[in-house]
Amino acid sequence: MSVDVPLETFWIPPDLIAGEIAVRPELVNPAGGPSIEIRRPELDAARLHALTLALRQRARQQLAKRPIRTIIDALDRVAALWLDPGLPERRIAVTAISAMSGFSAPMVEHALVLEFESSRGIHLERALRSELGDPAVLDGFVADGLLGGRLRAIGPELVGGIASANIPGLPHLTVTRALLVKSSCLMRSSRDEPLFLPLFARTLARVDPELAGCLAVVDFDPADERLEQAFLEGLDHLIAYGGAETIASLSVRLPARVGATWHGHRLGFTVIARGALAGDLDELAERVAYDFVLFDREACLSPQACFVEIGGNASPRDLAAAIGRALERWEERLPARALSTGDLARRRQTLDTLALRAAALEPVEVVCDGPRHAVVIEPLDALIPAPRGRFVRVVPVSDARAVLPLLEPVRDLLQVAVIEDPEDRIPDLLEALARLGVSRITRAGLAGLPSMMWRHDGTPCLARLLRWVGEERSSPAERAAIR
Amino acid sequence: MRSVSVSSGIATRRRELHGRVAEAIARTESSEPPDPEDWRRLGLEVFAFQLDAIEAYGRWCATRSITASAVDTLDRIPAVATEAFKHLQLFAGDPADAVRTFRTSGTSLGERRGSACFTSNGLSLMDLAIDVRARKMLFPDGRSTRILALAPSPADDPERIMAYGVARLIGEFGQRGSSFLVGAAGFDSGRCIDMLDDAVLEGVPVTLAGATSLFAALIDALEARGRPTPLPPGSRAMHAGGAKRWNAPAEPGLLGERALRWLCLPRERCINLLGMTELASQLYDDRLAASFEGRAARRGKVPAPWARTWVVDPESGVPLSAGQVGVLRHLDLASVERPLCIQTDDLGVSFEDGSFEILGRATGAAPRGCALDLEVWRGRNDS
Repeated sequence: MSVDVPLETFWIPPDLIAGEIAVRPELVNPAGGPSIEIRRPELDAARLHALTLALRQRARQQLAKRPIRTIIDALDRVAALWLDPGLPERRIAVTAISAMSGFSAPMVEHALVLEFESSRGIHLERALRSELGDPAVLDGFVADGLLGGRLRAIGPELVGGIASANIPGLPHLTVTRALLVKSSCLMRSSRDEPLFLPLFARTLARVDPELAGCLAVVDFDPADERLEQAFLEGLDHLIAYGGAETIASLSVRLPARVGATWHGHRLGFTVIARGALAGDLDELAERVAYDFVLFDREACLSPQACFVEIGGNASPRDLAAAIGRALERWEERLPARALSTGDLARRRQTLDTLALRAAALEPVEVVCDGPRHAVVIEPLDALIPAPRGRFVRVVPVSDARAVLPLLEPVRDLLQVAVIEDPEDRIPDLLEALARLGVSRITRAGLAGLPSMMWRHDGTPCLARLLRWVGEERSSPAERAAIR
Repeated sequence: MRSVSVSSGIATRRRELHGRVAEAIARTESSEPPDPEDWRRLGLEVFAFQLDAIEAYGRWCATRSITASAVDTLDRIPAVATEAFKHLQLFAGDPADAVRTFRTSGTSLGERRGSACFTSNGLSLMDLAIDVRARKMLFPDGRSTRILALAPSPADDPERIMAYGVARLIGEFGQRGSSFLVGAAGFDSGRCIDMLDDAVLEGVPVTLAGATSLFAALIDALEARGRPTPLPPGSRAMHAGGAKRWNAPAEPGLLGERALRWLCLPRERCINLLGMTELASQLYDDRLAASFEGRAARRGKVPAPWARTWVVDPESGVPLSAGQVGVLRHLDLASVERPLCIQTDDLGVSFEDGSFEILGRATGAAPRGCALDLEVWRGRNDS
């Protein structure tokens, strides 16, 4: 479908602040596609400040009084609506995000489905239970047997979010987290993909206008320091996605009283134990390849290399070839995004260098060098990021444990470890990886599909937003008697 | 392993080609310079030699069914990715013949440093290329100046090709009092300003030559001092590395404006140079030469007569037409003993007359999310 109406890059609930928001039209003209007109808001620091105050008031007057159940239910209905391919907002989002981000439309569609499938009410409730125990602590004091008293959890009044553009639909997660702790939410969209959040807000407004009235989405140039200052100063907690530079610059400007959750660069990797090479190689390759295909490897959960044990029924070379074939099949279902000139240049440097090294009789090989994906075999001294796009670096290792020293230099960046070890031969590896720094361990094909309960970047993302109150009326002696 | 006779055969051919290329380069300053056909023939001979002499390159071309006889124009010579210099010693002959190795700026972790080996003949050829090119593009007035090097000396940084090149300029073109202003403690902008003041007092023209980042740092220091330092007539500045390595001064226009304000250097007296460890020749902005020759300057940088630069499609490697953005590929006949054609990851655009402009490093799009971009990774390790 084409998008023939102008799309706003912001969402400000009706009646939240006085006056109209002026807009600046911009024509987005993706290569080969029809133009889309987007309208960016003309904001000033005073309006933004007023917005933060109004959102705080809504949190106090409305969210604080709502049972958490009603918030979960509303978010569940929104997720259910977004899982309907016919939802107008979803149809627009697929076209518009694809045009702006370069992701193929099937990939955007797929990403949206994954996002909302994992955001149904049941998942939200489990996430709350997992981190908070009883979600009722958000509604009032709850008896706690161990304490011999009662517990209450208070969310912030205003959570701010800085969204990234690397995963279509992902920015809803920040809104969801804020609302789940009864905080209003002020989002700053990514300049590269500012369209999803206003569309999401539109659905929320249909389902639950009161809840949507506690969400605002703005879009401003991050280089505008006055606006950024007004934005940051109005918050209680900031959840920011972005590159190292973004995070470094935000962290120095964030007022000390504002809490922060940073989601910066992370590296994932895959380990294939030789036991996994005894079965159906194509089936394994299909799953391994999917992790490298999903979100075109732009996610923090995307693997950067695939370590394969030698000595199995199939060789790393066999698996690499099978992954190459699997990538071709995935290309039909989830076409790759077009790479920029710069990305293509980096990729070509790597591939041509490997071909030359192979000619110099080094143990490297370019197994598959297609325009949309590549598979290479290359021993590494340390895990390094692969060129952007669908680039699978197969790294032969004598033993799965041999990956540990290769990960050591990047331990502060580790995120997901994909481990295929059907025989459970290397349980000690999991412990070692946990100690090293990974925050999620999974099997091939699930790298990019975390549960809502996953401690993103190793941290309880809901619980850390809360302030806890304990009502402790028992004496030490009474507490000692608690069984 | 190659036999001794093969090695010595390669050494002989290498020496012979060094001599012929040197003769041709020298002839560019004569009344009968080589014509494009001469360069084509010579380039193809160097290519044929390298197919035999750089083993990995020869085998790589063979796997692509590329033979000497199948290549009849310079633009069809396969280019070696600059990244390959970080992994392989790409040298025509026995590496033991090399007397000097230059390395790309490297990092402590994660990224390897590229290397380029030179024999004494190779160094002499590079010297000649530096001299001829500087005479034409930097000192077209034949004026002797005091050269202040915004670079370390070769003694302090023997592996940095920029240090070598600036030392060569000092040796050939510098007046007494020329010196290096980067020592073990880094760039001494205070000392540099003192030396500029001395030159102003003495009325000696100055050539500032070195790293773009240090040139920018010098101007920062002058700005902090708060008063312009009008350099004596005949002064000039040549800075290198801007768009390639440093982010801030990647806008040469802005740097030029500041140089005009704080050094009173007219725009045509402040030029940028592209030099690479993987090349023996340098690519200058045309402005300075054009102003002395009284002609309109060509846009951007111009390759030497013995060099070519193409802007190619990053995926297919096919040269693009003027105005299209692609990646830069350089061919340098002064690289007889290292691959003469290299593929960079610099983005650029070419113009109708064969000159070109660098648009920046191929870092890919700005990192947009939480997947770590390779270039950010490098930045992290650089810091």
